[in-house]
Amino acid sequence: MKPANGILDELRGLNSPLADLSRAMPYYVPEGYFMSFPDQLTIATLGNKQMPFDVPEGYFDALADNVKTKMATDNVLVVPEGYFEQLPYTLLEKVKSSGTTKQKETKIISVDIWRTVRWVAAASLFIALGIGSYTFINNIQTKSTEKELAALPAATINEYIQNNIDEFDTDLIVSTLGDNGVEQIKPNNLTDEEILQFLDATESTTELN
Amino acid sequence: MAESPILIDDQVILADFRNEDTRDSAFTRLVRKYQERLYWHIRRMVVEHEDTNDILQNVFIKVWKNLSEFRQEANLYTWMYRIATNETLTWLDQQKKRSSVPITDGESDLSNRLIAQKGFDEKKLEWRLQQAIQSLPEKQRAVFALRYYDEMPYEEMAIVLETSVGALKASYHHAVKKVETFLTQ
Repeated sequence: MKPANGILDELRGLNSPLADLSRAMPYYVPEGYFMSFPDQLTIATLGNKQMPFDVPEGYFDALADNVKTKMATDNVLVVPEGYFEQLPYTLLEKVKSSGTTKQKETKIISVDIWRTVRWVAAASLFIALGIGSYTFINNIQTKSTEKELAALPAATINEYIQNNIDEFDTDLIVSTLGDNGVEQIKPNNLTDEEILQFLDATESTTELN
Repeated sequence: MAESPILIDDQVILADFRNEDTRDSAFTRLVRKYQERLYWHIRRMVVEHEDTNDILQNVFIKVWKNLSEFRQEANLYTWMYRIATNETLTWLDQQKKRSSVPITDGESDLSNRLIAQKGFDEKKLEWRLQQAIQSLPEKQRAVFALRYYDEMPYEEMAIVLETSVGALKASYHHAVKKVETFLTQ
């Protein structure tokens, strides 16, 4: 299709090569598309919209009243006059006159809270006594052990120390007691010379160096 | 000034459409008259035939629904072009939102669709021209297509796109330069 002159003039005024180009559209269109499109469209636009049936004029406006009228005339369920007023009394009489139903005795379960409290208190007391006894006995044993040790003669203790102590223990005792402590435990009846002789004999002279 | 035959024909269609007895036949005539023009206007924007078909159907459904109230303030085909343009731009916006990859105006998605078209040949000028058009922003693409292909006067284009004549002229001239640049690359 030849472009309108106005379009060409405008493009030439812009010095555009587009004025001389072909404007054919290169896109592929399915064969027969434009022939069938209107029919396809009619189904799409009209298919779900229009119903073929006729409705009498004013039908929907009068429908509500028509239904109410029909309900009034067709109602076959009749309630006796005064039925609902009498119903409570009727029911009460029936209940009283039946007399065959035995009231079920409800089982009463007494809950003696104080009994539970007494049990808890007794258990707590027992536990406390047990712990106390254990502690007391333990203390007695400890004290008796200490007493026995205190009753041991010094010779026995010295003999034990000499047989079981080693250099490490000696260093530990010295470091623990300090100079004053060592002075305190030094026997009064031993001279320094006797002590040195003892040390030479046992070869424990490292402390003097 | 005598009205053009096209406009007279449109008035006849409109009158027939308003008559219940002739509504269906009037609508069919209307569709046959404008289907190709509207089809190509949409397709130049969206590329794919299937998408074009969907949008075109939506356009004519809207025409069917609203034609009774058409006030004839504009020409019938200008009114229909406006519906088609709005439907197309709405569809393009929806496509952008659906896509997980951000797509700017004239971006790679439509270019890819173009390359996938049957018979696409990058060496042929008509395909290069379509590539150039797809590189334009959406509204500018619509301006270029309406002027260059549909030869629509600026005054009618202003109704279709709801933009001033001056802005449309500037946009069209700018689009022409962009297309030329693309073709000479």
